[in-house]
Amino acid sequence: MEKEIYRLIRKSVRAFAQEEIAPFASKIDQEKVYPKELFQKMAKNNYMGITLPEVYGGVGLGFQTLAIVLEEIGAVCGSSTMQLTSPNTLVGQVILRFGTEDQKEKYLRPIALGEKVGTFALSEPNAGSDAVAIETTAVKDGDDYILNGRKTFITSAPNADFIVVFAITDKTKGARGVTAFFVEKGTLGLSTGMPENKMGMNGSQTSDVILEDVRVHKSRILGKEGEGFIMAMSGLDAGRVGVAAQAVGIAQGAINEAINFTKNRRQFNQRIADFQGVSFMLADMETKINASRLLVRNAAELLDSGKRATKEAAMAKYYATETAFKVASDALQLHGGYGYTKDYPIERIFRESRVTTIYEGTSQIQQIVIAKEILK
Amino acid sequence: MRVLRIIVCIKRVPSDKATKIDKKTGALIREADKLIINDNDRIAIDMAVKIKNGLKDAEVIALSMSAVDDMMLFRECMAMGVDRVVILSDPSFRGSDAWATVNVLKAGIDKIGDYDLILTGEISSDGETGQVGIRLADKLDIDHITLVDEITYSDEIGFNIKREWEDKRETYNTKDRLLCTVRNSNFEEEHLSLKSISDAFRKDSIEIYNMKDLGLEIDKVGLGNSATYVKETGIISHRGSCRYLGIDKIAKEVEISLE
Repeated sequence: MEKEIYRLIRKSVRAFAQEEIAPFASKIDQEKVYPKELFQKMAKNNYMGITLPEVYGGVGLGFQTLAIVLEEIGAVCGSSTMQLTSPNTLVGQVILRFGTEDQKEKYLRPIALGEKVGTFALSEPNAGSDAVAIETTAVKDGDDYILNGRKTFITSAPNADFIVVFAITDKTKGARGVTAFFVEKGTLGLSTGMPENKMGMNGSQTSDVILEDVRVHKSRILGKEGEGFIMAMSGLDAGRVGVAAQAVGIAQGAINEAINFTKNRRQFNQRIADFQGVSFMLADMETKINASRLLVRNAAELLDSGKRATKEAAMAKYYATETAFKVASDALQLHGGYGYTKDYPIERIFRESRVTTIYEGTSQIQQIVIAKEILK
Repeated sequence: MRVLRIIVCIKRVPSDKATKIDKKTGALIREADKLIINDNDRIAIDMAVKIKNGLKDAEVIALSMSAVDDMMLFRECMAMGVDRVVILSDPSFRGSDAWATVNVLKAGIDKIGDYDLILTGEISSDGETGQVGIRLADKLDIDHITLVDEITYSDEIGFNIKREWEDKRETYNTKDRLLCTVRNSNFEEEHLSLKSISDAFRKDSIEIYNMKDLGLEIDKVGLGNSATYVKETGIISHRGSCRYLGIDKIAKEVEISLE
């Protein structure tokens, strides 16, 4: 059994997810807009600052709590988890580790409180997992830097108040020539592309970020010049645990739908859940979801105790996301023809599950990371 | 200024999804992880916390006769705004009926000391006797008001209490200490923030007292000394009947009913 505090958190977040989010999950998916009131309700309950310290507006409850919140919310609405991952993992963690006090006040506190949205812009058309290959440049000009380039697949870019942009400040230094900058919305030369027309997670808008002679003062450098790559890599473990937890939630949502459907659907004078073939499928799904949850908990515990969790986070991400896709697919299968219609939540859940094996490092990248760790 | 003290009596009950009956004793099986705070008691906690939040100096204490196997629900009370939890726990208390429970709660209240208001849920969802609140008031020799759904407090008028029964709505003002049993069909609970949960787990404010601490006599507590015991508990099966009428028969049936 989980510790008392985690059980109470799970209980209260589950009630919130089921009462406040679930009724809107389908609407969010169809209208492709995330309701501001819902974002604010989550912020009021401190969901944006779970892993961030209290001194900066968070609640300092760590990654185990984050995993529970993402699981419970992910079980009813994937798009909603997308609102929480950035402040709690990627953006929040890099500012917490590398930001100055001024930057923490200016950027970290507002994202922990849900007053601002920040996003992380590393990927480019020619630089995904191979982050060193980025082509965006930042050229020094007095006390300023001039940024030029194009970022792609940037989560929440269209509604971000600021973007942490990774750019090359010294091409000769390779990985040590990358620097991170805070670029605020409205800065001259900064624009975002049309939101991508995605398969799922439609409540979260993803787009390109275009930088055309964007002038940024040196005080807006996050960390030090040349630290960008280390910074980007340092946040990966937390980001992976976040996506893994989200995947456990999506898988849980899928099996919940499958159990409900197979207990009610009757064929050949019995519930289809009572056919042994169907029950074996459900048993496999349940086992895999529980194994995923334990892998996530293990990685989250390591992060909370300040230990290295590279292999554990990669394993959790790899296994939990592949499980989410498989479980969602099987759950849809058990719905028969109904599962292929938009009248049942499983159709949306299936689409939401698909991206989890892709972003924050594909399953194949996770395999490389795991293999490297054991073949050291 | 004196602190206004409100004691809320709370009970852990099985959630309606987890109702199981022990065939030997006829009593409900209480598995710690399937228990919830009785719905009416949650309403009482919320009422007490709202009174407290409107005042400078007030304290809400949750009082419960309970096993101490699991503290989650008591922490939940604190996350809802309760300042202290007092648990009365002793193997001898097991199986207490309303009479014996009142003896234990009275001893707990004596241990706490002074108070201004005691709230209990109108009825618990498991035992459903609806006796404990009013009998406790009797034992404490204080007034009580049942079926209360709203309470406010001000120094000028004391407690302003509203109750509803049948089609009547009544209002009482009193400066005397008293007990109210509460219910509210329109109750909507706010979701707990993570901060309130985190704060609840930091508080060192759960006190546990056993029979000896409370100075209670063995002949006043437990199943063996209760005035009543459960002989048998069963689940009633409702046998409803339903007929499907074809469109041609509906008009005729309606005609018969109207006659």
